[in-house]
Amino acid sequence: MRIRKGNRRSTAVEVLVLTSQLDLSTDRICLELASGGTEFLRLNRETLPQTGLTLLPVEGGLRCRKEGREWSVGPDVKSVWWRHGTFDRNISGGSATIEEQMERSQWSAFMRSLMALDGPVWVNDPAKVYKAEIKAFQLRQAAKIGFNIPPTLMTNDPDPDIEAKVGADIALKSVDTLLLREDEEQLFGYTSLRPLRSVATEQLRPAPATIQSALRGKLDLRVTVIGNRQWCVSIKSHGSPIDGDWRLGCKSGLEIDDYDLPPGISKRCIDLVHALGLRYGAIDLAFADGRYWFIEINPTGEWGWLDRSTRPIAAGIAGYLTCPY
Amino acid sequence: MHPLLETTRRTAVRPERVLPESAVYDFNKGIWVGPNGPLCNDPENIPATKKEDIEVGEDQKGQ
Repeated sequence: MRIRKGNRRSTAVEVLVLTSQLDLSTDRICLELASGGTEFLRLNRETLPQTGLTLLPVEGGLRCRKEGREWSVGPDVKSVWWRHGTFDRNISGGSATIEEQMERSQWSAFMRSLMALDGPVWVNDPAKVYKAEIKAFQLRQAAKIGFNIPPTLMTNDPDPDIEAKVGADIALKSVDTLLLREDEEQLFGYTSLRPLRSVATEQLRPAPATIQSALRGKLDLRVTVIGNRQWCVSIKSHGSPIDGDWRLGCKSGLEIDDYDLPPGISKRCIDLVHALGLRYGAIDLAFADGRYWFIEINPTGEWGWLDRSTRPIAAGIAGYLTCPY
Repeated sequence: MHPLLETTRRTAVRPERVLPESAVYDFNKGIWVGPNGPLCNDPENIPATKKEDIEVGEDQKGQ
């Protein structure tokens, strides 16, 4: 809908898209929204200063002006697609000038402030994302829903009794994403399968880690959920399941195939997304020893790598954003 | 050494992702458009893994 205000024409936004400029997966959503005739506004965090943005916190509205056009985010807005860092803390990272630090901190806060838009459905609500990314919280919620979860501890205590809980063959993970920097190199922590005896030592004390019973011979499954729809794929390498973290292997040998989950497991995936207060989620499961195991859920997980004509995830997300009720 | 540090993968710090040279961003359409149409329809530009090999945790995660 176009509204004329004096000499200015304003577009009433139906879907607000908040992301980054190289999020090509979201490009696909925008194509779908456009093809359906939905009025949308996409704002990318890197280029916000190139627009004129005015938030009306009391009224719960937003105005965007750029190159003679104007968009109004008001009562007509149905949904918000949020693919942002929710609470950026590394504002001063690198060699940013004080002007750059100010821009980062204030734009980051401005984007959070858009939570004042409380009319539309958020996919996902940033506050819910923040909580849902806490792995311990995910595991607890998944257990309450009925998922099988490998015995798990988060500890810095090399207590010999750990073995009674998790066994001698374990998967070692960080409590949260482990990304470290040393000079011009970065270190990233992956899941590693190891004997417990190599982990439960005095070296563990400085920082807690997640210690989980290892799943050997597992089949990795990825379930992408939007609303009440979902797509599941299996991930294999050269026809075989992958031991440990599949991201460490050769990407060219990966085989991604559609996978039919049992109805009960499908329902739990939907239930978990809802229980966490989310509308979108990317869930990692594993099939091992004849059972389905919950590994983790990623509230803003990537899905572009799975979007195909037989798996129309972008269209599904666009459809949900257009009609989110 | 802490057990978590023993198995981290060490790589050079990834430079900022560069903008596509042969494409322009269309603000109104919310897409990058190259000589052959939208970049997002080009297999070369589709994310290849669940983290698109940007190992900073799940993409776009709340920090």
